[in-house]
Amino acid sequence: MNSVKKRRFDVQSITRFAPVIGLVLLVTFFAVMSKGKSISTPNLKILFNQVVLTALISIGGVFAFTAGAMDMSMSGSVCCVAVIAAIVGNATGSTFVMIATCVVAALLVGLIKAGLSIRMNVPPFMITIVLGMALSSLGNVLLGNQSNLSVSQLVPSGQKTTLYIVLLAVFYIMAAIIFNYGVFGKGAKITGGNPRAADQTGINANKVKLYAFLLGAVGIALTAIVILLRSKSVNASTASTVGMDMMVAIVLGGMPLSGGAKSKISAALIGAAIITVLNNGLMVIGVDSGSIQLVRGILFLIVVFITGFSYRSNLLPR
Amino acid sequence: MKKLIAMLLALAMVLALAACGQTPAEQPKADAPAVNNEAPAAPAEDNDGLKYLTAGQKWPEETVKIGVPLYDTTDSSAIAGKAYFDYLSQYLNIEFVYSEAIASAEDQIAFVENCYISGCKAIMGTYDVIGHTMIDTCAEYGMYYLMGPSNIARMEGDLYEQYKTNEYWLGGYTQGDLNYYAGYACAEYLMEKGVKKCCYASGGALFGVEMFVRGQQGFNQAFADKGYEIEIVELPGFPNDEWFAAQASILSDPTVEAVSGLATPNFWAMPLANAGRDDILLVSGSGAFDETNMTAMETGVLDFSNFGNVEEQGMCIVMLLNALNGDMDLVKPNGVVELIDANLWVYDNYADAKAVYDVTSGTEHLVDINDFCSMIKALNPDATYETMREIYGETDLATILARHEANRG
Repeated sequence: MNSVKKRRFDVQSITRFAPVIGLVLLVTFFAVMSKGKSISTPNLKILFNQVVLTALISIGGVFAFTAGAMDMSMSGSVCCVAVIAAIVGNATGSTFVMIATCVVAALLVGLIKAGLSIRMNVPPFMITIVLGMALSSLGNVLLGNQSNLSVSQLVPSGQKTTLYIVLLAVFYIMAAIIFNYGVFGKGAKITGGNPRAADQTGINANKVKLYAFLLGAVGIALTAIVILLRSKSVNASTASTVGMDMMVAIVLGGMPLSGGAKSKISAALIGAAIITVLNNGLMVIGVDSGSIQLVRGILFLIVVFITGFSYRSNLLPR
Repeated sequence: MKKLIAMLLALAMVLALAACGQTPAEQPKADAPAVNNEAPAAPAEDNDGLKYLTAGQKWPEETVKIGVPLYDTTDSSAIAGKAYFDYLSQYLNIEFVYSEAIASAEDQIAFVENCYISGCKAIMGTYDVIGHTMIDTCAEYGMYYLMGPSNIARMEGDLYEQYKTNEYWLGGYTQGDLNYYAGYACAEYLMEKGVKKCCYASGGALFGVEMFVRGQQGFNQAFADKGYEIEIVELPGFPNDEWFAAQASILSDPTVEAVSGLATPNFWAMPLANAGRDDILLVSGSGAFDETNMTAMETGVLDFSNFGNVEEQGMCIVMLLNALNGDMDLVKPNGVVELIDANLWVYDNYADAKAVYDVTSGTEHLVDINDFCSMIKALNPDATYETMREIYGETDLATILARHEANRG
């Protein structure tokens, strides 16, 4: 009996760290293939610049996904917020106002999402799909006849890696504290795992959703800010891929999209790192663009397969 | 145990995939790019028609890698451009790193960063919507930036003034206001044919996409300039279910005499044929010298088209190679970035268009390897900036072919 327990413990120990193992394997693979170029200092800096976007949006997304509210509107939300901030920033000529607008607009978007999710008796993913389209369209309408809106006058030139590190670190630490040690984190996990049980234990599901979307909005705001700083411009296609990247990152990071007890904030960071390392590494080792998608698909499958171990628990299916 | 075996198998698959990888490129230099370029030995008499190169010996010695961001990898111009670059790569030691279809500015910046670490010396923009950010990003990584068939509207005025002396921006071949003139030329053709009712497929103008906006502006302006009365039925957006429904409705209107817009043949040739509307003129604002367009012209479906010559993108490579050799007088003769507008190849008959297509699709090319090398000072000491302007400015096929013959001796 003891040996059975011990063996299960060993496998669980391994599978718990499966996403990290997947990431380490990828890093090692590319380091070997590129003769160390992929882990050179310049590339590590590049990797960090690239990972920050997916990581920020994914950390924000984890809150909503944990509570069982699949947020499909992340791309549209970031696009709309960035466009509004760029317009306001250009109108006022102030970088501070532009950044503040990102925060205010994102919180407003978060409130709208929460309000609609709470009031309408429709699964959140359906609401957010429609809302995402509406927000993208709003961004497009606000751009008017301009295919591209520059904010280069508001953004100082030069690399901002340090700023990105600080932003990501602060947000991650705050998110981890709220998620792992706060009342909200536990409530979100229970609500996402079994809403009826959560209700019977006295958890206010509406409150959980409200906080989840508001915390997600912080991720949206930070992502929009980083996009404005990096791209120095916005257009209709701004952030068009971040929503999908976020979902892939969450899965690769070892968290089920359905949320619940298996949710973890670290999934956002590890998943974002896996995506970024993969995209960067394939180019560094010289895989041509035609084959990149194929190779990436296969590698994703392998990583998902490995990380999939962490889903397998002895819990009864919900 | 099974799980561990499965993990080992997965690891084995990863390692097996490793075998698919190519040899990594050299680490790029952080400072301004440069390349070792000693001119090759004087060509022997029997040199496969090469005037400036030695057969079987690529130039320059060090491989020059160029990153090419693409927005649509299936676009006929992108495919034709790749084929032309492949042709140049047979003689020159140049290598291209193409992106996947880029969906956003963030993706484009990430691609530039990855190009840097892959050892690229330059980025050749295709359709950039963030021109100035590209220059900044390339400059941060010490790579040159060149414009391919980009729209320069965003680089005019203040932005151009701000960036025109930037060390890393070499300028290049641009579409300039080509789309405006293309739209204008379409309208002139319709006026010449006396058309009174026309459908205009305005594409991305609805979303503010610059090329479509300018194309439509040029189209409307031509009628306004001549005071010509015409009824225009606009079909906005890109093909989807609603778009095709609206198209069917237009084709069922017997009073519609013509269809125009940018890139029209792809989405109109078949529906026109299916609807039995041989009477409708199909007038295209832009297109590549490709098989689709040639077939459309040959069968009489496409009556008029402005064509773009993808080989003009080679101008960017000429500029880059001269810049890497330190011959900046051939790149920025006035010390500032020069933006050179692409040519508009206008045809209203199949025979003339086909003659050019035969050259571009065969082994001949409009700007062949001798033309190309004649513009690089390291290979041809007589080369000047004007040499490049003359070669790329020539649109008369007979003159081009005569030049090729003369070069071959």
